[in-house]
Amino acid sequence: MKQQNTKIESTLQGAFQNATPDLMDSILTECENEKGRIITMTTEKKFTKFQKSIVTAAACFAMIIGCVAGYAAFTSPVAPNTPPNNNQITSSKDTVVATTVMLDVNPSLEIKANKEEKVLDVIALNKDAELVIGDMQFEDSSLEVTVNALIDSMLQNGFINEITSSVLVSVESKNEDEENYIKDKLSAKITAKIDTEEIKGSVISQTISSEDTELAELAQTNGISLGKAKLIQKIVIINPAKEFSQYAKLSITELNNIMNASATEPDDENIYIGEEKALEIALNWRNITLEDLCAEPHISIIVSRGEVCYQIQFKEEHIIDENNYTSSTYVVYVNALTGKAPGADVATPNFTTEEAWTFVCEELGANAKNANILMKRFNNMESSLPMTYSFYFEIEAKEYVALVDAMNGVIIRIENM
Amino acid sequence: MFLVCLSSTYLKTDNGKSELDSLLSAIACDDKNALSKLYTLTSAAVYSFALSILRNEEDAKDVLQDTFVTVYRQASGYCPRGNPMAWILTIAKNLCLMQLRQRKKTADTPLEDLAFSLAAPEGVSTEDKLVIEGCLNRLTGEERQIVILHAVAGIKHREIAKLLDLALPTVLSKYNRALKKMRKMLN
Repeated sequence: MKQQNTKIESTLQGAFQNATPDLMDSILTECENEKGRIITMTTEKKFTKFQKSIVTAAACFAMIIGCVAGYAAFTSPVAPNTPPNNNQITSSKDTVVATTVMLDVNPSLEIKANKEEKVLDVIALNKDAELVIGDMQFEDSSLEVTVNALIDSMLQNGFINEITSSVLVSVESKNEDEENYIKDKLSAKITAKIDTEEIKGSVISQTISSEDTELAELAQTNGISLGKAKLIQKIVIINPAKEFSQYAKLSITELNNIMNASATEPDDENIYIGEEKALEIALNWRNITLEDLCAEPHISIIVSRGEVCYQIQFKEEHIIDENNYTSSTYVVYVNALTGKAPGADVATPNFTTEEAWTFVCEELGANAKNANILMKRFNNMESSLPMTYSFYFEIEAKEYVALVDAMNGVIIRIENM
Repeated sequence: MFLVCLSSTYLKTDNGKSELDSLLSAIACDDKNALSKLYTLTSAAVYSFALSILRNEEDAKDVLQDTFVTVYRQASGYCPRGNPMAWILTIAKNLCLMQLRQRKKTADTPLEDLAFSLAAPEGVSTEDKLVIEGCLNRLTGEERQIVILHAVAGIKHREIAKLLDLALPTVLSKYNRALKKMRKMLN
């Protein structure tokens, strides 16, 4: 089947290559004509005398109204000790969180800002952070000024000193470019700030995503920020000597030292079982070999539920007959140290029942409008067969069955019963 | 000009992509040789893609020419991120859509409804003609675009999904069905 597809692809490719005209000369000529092309500037529109007089009158009128309103505001009585109406300040302010910045030293805090980098809120994630924030108010301040003030406070309170001098900056924003820009900007500011105190500090910066639910769960379980959890996740992969929860108790400086000490990739032969072994374990779970795969397997090393694992994704081909084949995708997790397979996820169907039925209708063509579905079923019972949808339907009193691959939508068969 | 078209397999590789990136950078510096080389490597993909949308040789030739002139004009704005082939094909797609809009204003019978017949220029065998006509007549609009993007342009299914604004499973299933139809036709 695969060979046949490759042959068709080659045939198509060759045919279109032969049919493609050579237009290079025309293209080069047109490119030359692009140079020296004069772009005519539009002439400035001149106002008529009448239009000018209208504009002048409108400006004068606006000035008069402004003066009257200003005088009225200035002379109207104000109740003493009237608190500022925050609603008036914020009614035109953008309160949508566009960026979240986390600062971790040992104090751990979170800064939320809008798309203009105006701070909306600063949240202490531990007791030390509460001390750092103190009575400071940051609402409407710029992100840079806020970070500056917080680092200052950490320095003054002794949280950043000659011994604990590493700061972790984690940034999440909706836009990747924005994330990197803010991350780099804040890192530079913090480095400069620490340098002025003549402390040899180091700033670790990273981007994060709060959509990583597994990471969020790890952070919450261990009582640390998402940023610190992500850093530990990286460390666990390169230095699995301690468990996640043990690393969570360390300061950023201690984690940074471990990361620097473990700068080289571990020797897989000595610590991890290796990709080849992990793939063998995953395929054994399905009782298949490499020959049964219809695509290159993808193997990556990740931290899942606090364990370093190989994530192996592979696609198994099932030959139905000489004209039909289907495939199923599996994702298997194998512990990188012990080789134990904690579990496997079988891919969920890529199509709903309704979508699968539309594929059947396309195949039926004009007859589809007369089809009356008697029964529809999703099949995922036997591990040796792919997931499918089956439909029992009738057209003009004749009964039919249709079987559709739930992963790639291929019609396996439609036959009269 | 002697056309040496590299296979779509080359365009899929990292070497292929980085060569396209280098050529685009050179074109941004007004290197006409680089433009010529880019044409050699990618014109089949652009032409076949345009043909899959427009189903008219003259219109597809116009799009082919305009695509490379646009690439020359906009090369300085190209950021080497992702797939350069997809960038070029996006330009081609937009030019095709402009052609279709123009056509709607003037044509009585939409060209998409008429059977396509290749004019069979020199160098195109009878077999090639049948294959191309079969692809353009027997497959639906999306099927022929997907098949051509994957088989001729070497674009991955995931990138095709993004280019055509379709869900990935839809691309996969239409691709399989298109190949099945082609198999029946060729057999």
